[in-house]
Amino acid sequence: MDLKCEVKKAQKGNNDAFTSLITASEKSMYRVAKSILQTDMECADAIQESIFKAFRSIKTLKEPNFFKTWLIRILINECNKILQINKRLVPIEELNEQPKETENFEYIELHNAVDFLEEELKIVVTLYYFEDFPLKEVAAILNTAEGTIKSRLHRARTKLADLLKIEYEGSACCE
Amino acid sequence: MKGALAVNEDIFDTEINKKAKHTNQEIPEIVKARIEDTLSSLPKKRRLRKIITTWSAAAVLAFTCILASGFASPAMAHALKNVPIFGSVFKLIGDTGLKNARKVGLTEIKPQTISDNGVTITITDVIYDGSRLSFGYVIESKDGKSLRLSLHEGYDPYADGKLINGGGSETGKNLNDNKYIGTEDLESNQSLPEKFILGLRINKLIWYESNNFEKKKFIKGKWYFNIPISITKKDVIYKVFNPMPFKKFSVTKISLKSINITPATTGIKLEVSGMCCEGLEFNVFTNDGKMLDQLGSSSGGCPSLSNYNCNLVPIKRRLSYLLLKPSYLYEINTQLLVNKYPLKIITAKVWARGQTESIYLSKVEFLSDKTLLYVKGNYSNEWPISLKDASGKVYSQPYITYPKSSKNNTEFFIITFPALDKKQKIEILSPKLIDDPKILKQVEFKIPLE
Repeated sequence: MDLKCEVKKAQKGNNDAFTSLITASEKSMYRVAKSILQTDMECADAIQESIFKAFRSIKTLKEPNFFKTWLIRILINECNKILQINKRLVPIEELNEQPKETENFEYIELHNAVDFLEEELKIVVTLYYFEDFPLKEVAAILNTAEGTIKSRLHRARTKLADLLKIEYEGSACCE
Repeated sequence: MKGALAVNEDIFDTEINKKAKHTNQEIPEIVKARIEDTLSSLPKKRRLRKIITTWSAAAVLAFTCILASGFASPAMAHALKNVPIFGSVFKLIGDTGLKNARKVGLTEIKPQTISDNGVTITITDVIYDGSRLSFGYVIESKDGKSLRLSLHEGYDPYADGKLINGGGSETGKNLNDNKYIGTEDLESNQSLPEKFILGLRINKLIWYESNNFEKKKFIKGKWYFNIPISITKKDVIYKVFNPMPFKKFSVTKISLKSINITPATTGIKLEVSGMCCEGLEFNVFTNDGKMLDQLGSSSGGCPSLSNYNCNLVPIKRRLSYLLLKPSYLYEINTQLLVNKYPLKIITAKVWARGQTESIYLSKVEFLSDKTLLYVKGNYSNEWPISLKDASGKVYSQPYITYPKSSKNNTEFFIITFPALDKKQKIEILSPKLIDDPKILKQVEFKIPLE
């Protein structure tokens, strides 16, 4: 898919182009949403709102190559809004979604390890390792200084190494 | 499990990246379905139907849509030519709700025909379900003029002799030069009785010489219809909320008055206090995330307490609830653009259906009999514009050509206002859009249907 071309088409009101852009990013959207929110229903809510917002404002995107960064940023904002609402709610029952059965044991191991991380580390790991965003873009998406992201990544590496039984000798870094 | 490794940052990253790349996390069905529903509910570039209460400009737009659609499909045009005159117009060109209502037998009336001044008008269908009052009609003439109805300009609707105030939305097709079929939705905040006589007093029919919208002509006559109406109660779920559930944000209170689900429509009535309905948009979603298309809306009673009626496409009964999501589109304060060209005016546009659109005012021409604004961009019929002269008099509801021409996805329009003295200070008024229309999460309503 020619990203630039598709974004320009979508900006001119081509729904098919917009749909193909979202479809190409849907797995990333889900992974990112899931790294912030608890349930799949919440993820679906956040993704839906993000799609509407992206559709409405795609004309404002100046650099087509940054479509995914822009989209993920919208999504994270939506996820954070849901988190804020959830904070005000008293849960009636604990929703305990069981992990899906899969033969990809290596993934479960990494996935579970990431799940053990604190929220602010989980999203950094998801964006950096799973979604391949460079540090600079992770910082832009999270609206946080690059140095802070480096520091969080360092902390995440240390914890992941411990969880995954990898001996990690990273250099010290402070937030 | 791999054995413990002592690695530096780069090797660690490579290791994690490798693990991450081997993952192919599938999206759960519930999320996948929601994404597909959301994408399929996105609007096409231009809305074809939107009922408006300030209807004059939109009537011209609707008329043009009709013309365009009539000529768009020769096969359709041919099929329509062969339709018996007294067939159901709802069945032929009605929207989903009207077709559905016709299908379940809610719209059957004995067709009424009146001829005058060489023109014959037949009312073929009518429905009133408590939310939606619509009728279908055929106009036949012998002199090749493509005649049509024009609410409040050429005819007025009455309920038991009392004028029904409000706007309307017309959809129709030219069958040929002499025959036109259409449907009209009448929107009003007035409460109508369960049984009444719908009076349609048609005094004038309009037509356009050489299909030129600036050359509007009339044919006068008397086509007065009196149609007995009984509210349909078949397959209807009607809930009146008492006390009314309400949600508040800032000084605004939104209360849910009633919901009416029929084979023709889903009608929701709200009461808004503290601010005018203007600037608020209400979108309705099903419990599985699909947005319901609006058939029309009307509001009245501003500014301190207003009623908002929203008509949407009919829904399936198995739905457990609807979600009403209000959003805030623009500030009530007007944006004054004073004799400064070229101007960029941001249009008011529904966030979930279309993108925010921009139009450009390229020229203003002061003629002896009119004032012309030349505009390019993607026009939205929800975009209101007015002129204010030096004395403070506001000229609204302009006459708009639609479109004058179209090139590279940009359309050109000429907006006509009354003649104004160019030496005086003229202001152009349009609503000021807020940068980021907000969905007002705190005032979302969950409307149970079970």
